[in-house]
Amino acid sequence: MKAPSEQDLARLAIYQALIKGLAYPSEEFMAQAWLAALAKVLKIVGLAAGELAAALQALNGDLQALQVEHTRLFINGVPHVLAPPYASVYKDGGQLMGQPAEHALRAYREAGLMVSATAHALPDHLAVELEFMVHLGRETLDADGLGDAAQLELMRQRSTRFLDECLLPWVALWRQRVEESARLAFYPALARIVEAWLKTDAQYLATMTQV
Amino acid sequence: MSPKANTLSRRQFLKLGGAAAASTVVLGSGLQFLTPIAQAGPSLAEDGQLYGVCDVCSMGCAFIAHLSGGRVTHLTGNSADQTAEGHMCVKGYSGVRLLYDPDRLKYPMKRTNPQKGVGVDPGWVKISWDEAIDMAAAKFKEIRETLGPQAIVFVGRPQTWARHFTQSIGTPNHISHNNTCYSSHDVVWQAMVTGKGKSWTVDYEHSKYILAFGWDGPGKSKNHWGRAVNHALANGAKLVVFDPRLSITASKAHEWVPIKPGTDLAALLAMIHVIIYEDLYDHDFVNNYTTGFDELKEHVKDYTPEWAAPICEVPAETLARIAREYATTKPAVIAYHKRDAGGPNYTNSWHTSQCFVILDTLIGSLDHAGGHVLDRKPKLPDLPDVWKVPAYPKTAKGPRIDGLEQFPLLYPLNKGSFSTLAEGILSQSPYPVKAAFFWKHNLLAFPNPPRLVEALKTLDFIAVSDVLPTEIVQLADVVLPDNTFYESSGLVAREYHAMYPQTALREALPALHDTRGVSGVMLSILKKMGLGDYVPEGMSSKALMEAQLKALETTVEEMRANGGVWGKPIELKPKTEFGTPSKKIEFYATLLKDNGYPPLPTWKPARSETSGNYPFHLLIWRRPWERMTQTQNDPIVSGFSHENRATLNAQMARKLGIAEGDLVWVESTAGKIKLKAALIQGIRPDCVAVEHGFGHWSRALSIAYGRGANDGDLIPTHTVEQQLAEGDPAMSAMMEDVVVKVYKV
Repeated sequence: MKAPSEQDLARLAIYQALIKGLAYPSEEFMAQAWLAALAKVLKIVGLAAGELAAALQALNGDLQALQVEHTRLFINGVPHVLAPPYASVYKDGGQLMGQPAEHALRAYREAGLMVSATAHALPDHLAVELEFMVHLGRETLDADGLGDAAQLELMRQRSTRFLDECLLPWVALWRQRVEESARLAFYPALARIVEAWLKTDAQYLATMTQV
Repeated sequence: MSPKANTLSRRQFLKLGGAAAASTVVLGSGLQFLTPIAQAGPSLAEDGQLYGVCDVCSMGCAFIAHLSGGRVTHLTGNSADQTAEGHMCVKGYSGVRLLYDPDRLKYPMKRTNPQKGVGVDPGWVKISWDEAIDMAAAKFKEIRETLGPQAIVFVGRPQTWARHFTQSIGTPNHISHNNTCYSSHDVVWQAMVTGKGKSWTVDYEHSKYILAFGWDGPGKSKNHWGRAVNHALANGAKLVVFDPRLSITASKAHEWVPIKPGTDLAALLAMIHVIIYEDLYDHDFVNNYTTGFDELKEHVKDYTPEWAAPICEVPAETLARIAREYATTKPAVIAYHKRDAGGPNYTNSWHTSQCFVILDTLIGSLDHAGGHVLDRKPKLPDLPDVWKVPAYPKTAKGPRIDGLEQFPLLYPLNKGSFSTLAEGILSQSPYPVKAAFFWKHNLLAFPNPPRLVEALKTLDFIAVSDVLPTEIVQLADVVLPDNTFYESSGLVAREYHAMYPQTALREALPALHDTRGVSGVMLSILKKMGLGDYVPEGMSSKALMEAQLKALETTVEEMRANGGVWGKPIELKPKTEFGTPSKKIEFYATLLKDNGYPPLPTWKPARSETSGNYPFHLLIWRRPWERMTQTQNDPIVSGFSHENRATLNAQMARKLGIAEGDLVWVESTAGKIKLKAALIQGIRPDCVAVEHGFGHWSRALSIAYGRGANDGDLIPTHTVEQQLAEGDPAMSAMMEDVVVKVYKV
């Protein structure tokens, strides 16, 4: 059995850590284990988490401040929810559950997955789309490990397609909205990492599929 | 996905040293949002269709939601709905955008900013449902035990579970919007015809003469009434509309009569006079099914068209001619519903409503084809039919903060008064109130919302269950996000549709966000408050629906096979006995007399008369594509009417130096609002008309915020004593009994 490449493992870990970073802040979140892991794996792919770490540090453990910020940016806020993390808001007229949600759902279905009924999440929520990249990343690792070239190729293609069609078209618009609306430095820093990583991963996948 | 393969990769993962391995410490391997299709349990309905019943307004039109890839792409009217005929109105078709509104309340939240007020950011944070319910229950329990249950106010519709919730707590204060909407019709029908509230079924379709006073049903997009009136017109019916403003219904009428606001009562008394004294009434019907005709005849002796003409500014011959046409063109009907001349808009509206019932009775159209038809919707079991409800605390029947119990005919109908709530809270009369639970009632629907905000700021705790972050949500301590009607299931027995008594099926989409229906939330709060005896084990909205299906001897599958409706044809057999003490329709209403009110409609001028200071009557109207204050956050509808306006008669405006689009103040004794002027010919020179529903100040509504102004700011609140002094059994909020001045900014 072939050992997995560090790059492939790192990208899986990055996606997982970013999902953690986008989660609603908790005491555990403030303990920063996820951030330490993210910093380490980002380094492997040539990205840095220093700005994000500094932003979290600057909060001096004020969990409520970050919860207020998360709520106003991503859930409900005054004035209005500022940077809803749903593709449809940016790519289909501002409402939820537009064409991008259907597009994402069909990709999940193709992979034998659906959005869990208890997750209270829409298919085109940023964290759900990142989680689908985790799933595809695992499938990629498995295929590679088993030496299943056809499956490996298929998973890399699906990853590329999902990134190109479902994530990259709106992530910059979302990042921009976060930057414009944030009161704290944390979420703009996180949004910049998300965008930078997705672009990096797209380049990496392009390289891999060309091989 | 192969579980075996995943195990393998996890093992590989752990073998790694360095950076990637470190990530496993926090990252785990499970998926949080996505799940294999086979293990999913209840799934998003992805492709296909669901049956639904619209709840944008109270009409309840059946529809089909078409799904593609898990989303509702569009709605179509359900062709099995005999009344709505397979169509919805513009509001109904637009309703799907409420479901997908990004501003929706998505999770329970609590405020972190203790300051409350207009423009104050609550500093919301997301919390769990457990925490939200604990918070509400703890606060309600504390207040119930220290000040008594009456110190908790519930504001919302008198729906089964909401009634159960308030009565279980033992508070008498379940406040609904009735006295701003239809309390006058309710009380009059109770006293004269039904012994309970008004009937909501009207057979416009088979009418040959439709006469309206301030009613704009088709103009408000009341779907099947608009359709039925159109059918009637196509069949040769005549439509006559009395209205100070050329409403949409008036614009489609054969005749528009621009009557002076608040004087419809005089016109109607004169019509009754003509029909009785010219012997145009239906003798058989009057002899067999009514009491008090002689008293009525004597009572209206002096209410001649000549007497009425100068009051309502309609020529006597016009009044007499229309009375004759109405009495001799059979079947005829007076069109009314809510917030019309007989709705609780004026201090004399209840007398106006009496005249509506009298006229339809005199010509024998009541409960006949072409007229108002008595309740014939299918009877569905309600909570007390399926569960032995424990006795409620006696305090649930005590004095109320809105004073409703002092109106003996209105009180048993279990509704409420919006016009007295603020004054009751502020004056702490008859007692202090310290907590409120608002369910889907927006502050902008009240008279003088700024006054209510002042009152609500004196409370210790406010819980709100709603779909959108409206104004009341800005004042909430805890937010309990509600499902939309697309995310609820149930059976809907639609009284408006009762000409064709069909019960319609509402199938639920999975909730989009972490929202819960208010019924279950209220039961959870009761349990946490230590009132578990009032929480029926195993009895929920779902269980109640099962009982209702059983009572109809049908199943969801059968209803689906029948196009989403259940219905057996019921022949329209006019009733021969009614719900009054005499079992007849009582022209001379003994219930009114026994409770100290005039039993016959008696002329009484409107409360507010124009003067040099306030030369205009305020008229309030509603756009066809807007549903009150609920639709202004719709991205498409907001493009149809960006803001509301002060609509003035063009000649009058020119005299005042006001041009189209000028900014003007509209000012009453209660407050003033700034609007752009719109000049038209079709309005009396002594009136200014303002569209309702605008003026949202909740910045959390990204589209509705800041558009136009709220007409409610012009409408005064009242004390209970002021309401009692009006001598009105329906406690009318008198929403249009208001005079204003208009001047350029």
